[in-house]
Amino acid sequence: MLAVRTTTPSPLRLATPGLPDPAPDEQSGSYAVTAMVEGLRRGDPAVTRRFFEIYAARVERTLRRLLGPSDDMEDLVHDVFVDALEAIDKLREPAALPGWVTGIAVITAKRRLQKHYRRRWLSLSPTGVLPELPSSPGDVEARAAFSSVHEILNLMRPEDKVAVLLYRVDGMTVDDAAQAMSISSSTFKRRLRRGERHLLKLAQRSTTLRIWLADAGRVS
Amino acid sequence: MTDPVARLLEEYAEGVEASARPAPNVNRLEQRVRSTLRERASARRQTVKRLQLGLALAAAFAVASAGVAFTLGKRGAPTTAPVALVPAGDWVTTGAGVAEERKFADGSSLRVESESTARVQFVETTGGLVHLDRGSVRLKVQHRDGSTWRVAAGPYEVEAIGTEFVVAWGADRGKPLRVSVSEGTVAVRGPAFKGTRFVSAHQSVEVNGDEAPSTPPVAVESLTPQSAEAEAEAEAEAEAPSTPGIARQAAAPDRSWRVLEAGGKYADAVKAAERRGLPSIYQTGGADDLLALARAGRFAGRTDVAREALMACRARFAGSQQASMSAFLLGRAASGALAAEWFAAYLKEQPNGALAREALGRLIEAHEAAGNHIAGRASAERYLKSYPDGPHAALARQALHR
Repeated sequence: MLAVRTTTPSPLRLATPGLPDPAPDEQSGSYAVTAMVEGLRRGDPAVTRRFFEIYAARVERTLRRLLGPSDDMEDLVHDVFVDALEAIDKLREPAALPGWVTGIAVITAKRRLQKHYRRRWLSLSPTGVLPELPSSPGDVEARAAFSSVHEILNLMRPEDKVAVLLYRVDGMTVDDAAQAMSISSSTFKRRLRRGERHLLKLAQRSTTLRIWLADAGRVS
Repeated sequence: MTDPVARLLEEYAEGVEASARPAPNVNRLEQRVRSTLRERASARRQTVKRLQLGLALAAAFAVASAGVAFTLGKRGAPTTAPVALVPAGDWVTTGAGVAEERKFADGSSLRVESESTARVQFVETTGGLVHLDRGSVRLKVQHRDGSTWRVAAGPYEVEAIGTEFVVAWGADRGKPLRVSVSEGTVAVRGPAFKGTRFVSAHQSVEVNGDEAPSTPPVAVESLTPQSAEAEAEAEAEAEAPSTPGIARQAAAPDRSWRVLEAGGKYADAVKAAERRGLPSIYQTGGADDLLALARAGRFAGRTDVAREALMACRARFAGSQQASMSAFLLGRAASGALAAEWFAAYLKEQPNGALAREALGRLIEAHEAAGNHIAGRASAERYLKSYPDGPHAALARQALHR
């Protein structure tokens, strides 16, 4: 469980139908990305428009995976783009644009998590919002499990939570996730291990999750 | 799968994906981001200009300030700076035939009628709380996004939702409470009401004196609205079950926070609710409990508690009037596109509800604030068609001609 990969994606990496992944410009290589950065620095409207088209869904997805369902997602995506466009001149390596944008999304999410972590005993969710999921009579248990996991994730240190979710849910490699968090790979690994240990410990304290894990174990 | 962490997070990941909303609207996002960048750039330019100007004119400014100070000193108190005119915490007592009027920074005004005693407990940029000890006050509230003005009279609370109204209170009178609304809608809460009573323009509500404030609600108030339709609506609101089952079951446990909330001790109410366990209230409290907790949270400055209570009310009492009210309150606490979504939700659920006019007006404001002029125009057309003389009519016309 504690062994970490450095090059291959996490087994939980999710297929996300309907979302452009990865972006065509990224596939065509670093030249297109470099050209995009130059266009953004010039303030070229067409390039800026393309930047939004390519990265909006990606940013939203990263934020959603780190924060869970949130009603102010649109505001957070907005904040990421504002920060990115204001700091585009400071991007030293244009080819690193995709990771750099993800890094800004991670910082934005972490900032939000830290704010709520300080008041965690008041809140059920990192955004102060109860998650709204489609529900049907059949998915009550799954919904309860989701809510419980969501709740215990909010009890974790923000940096540990981000590490665990980037690696386990977003499917990043250790190196990519460490870069997105602006920390070294070894620091990332330490946070990942600590986060996973804490997550399990909290899950064992939750009646719902203890039962759910036991049931899931029997089924598998 | 044997890895328990993977098993836990798989469930989380599926839940997160299930909650995915449609991809962000790139047009709107780009428009908002560009607008924010322009505003920031403009603010930076202005800061630089101000600094330059400040340095250049420092000496002249000092002389001018001295002159202004001298002039003001001769004239007495300045005529502007309305907040300074309303010191929070001071009691205002008026004698026979004398009324006093106070202005607030947001354009709202309070008139303490003759032979009355009232106090502005606190004033914020978006509203405040007035305590009425005896007599009557007239509050004229200016429409603002997120504004909240309330009058607390004994165990009752009257919350303004962009409006003009009079609250009369006398604990020793036969009918201690009377609320008359000249414009807009107010929400009245207290021991004589089953939940919230909305009173709209040209309506009034009175509470009989045999009502014991701290006893459980009994239908003792005599409502005297001018229209039978309004009376029926108000009765329906009062009689409507606070959504089945859970609400009644939840009434039994420790209610001390409700007592504190009803008495206007909002910070204490939130603390008491915390001691009891906020998650437990969110999960088992009745719809009215959740609205009361949201109210306490809002006025105690605990917007996180307010928001969660309202969201819990929406999630657990979907379809109820309280859930719709929660949507309205969430909209009022939000801004821009998010506020628009909440007001639209209220209007969808309660197209003819007591707050429909206000929600539609605020929907125009929210769309305009979000830069979504197309939706703003559509809402404005709808508003003018239904309420050509409503309080948002001028704004609606502006939106149409933008």
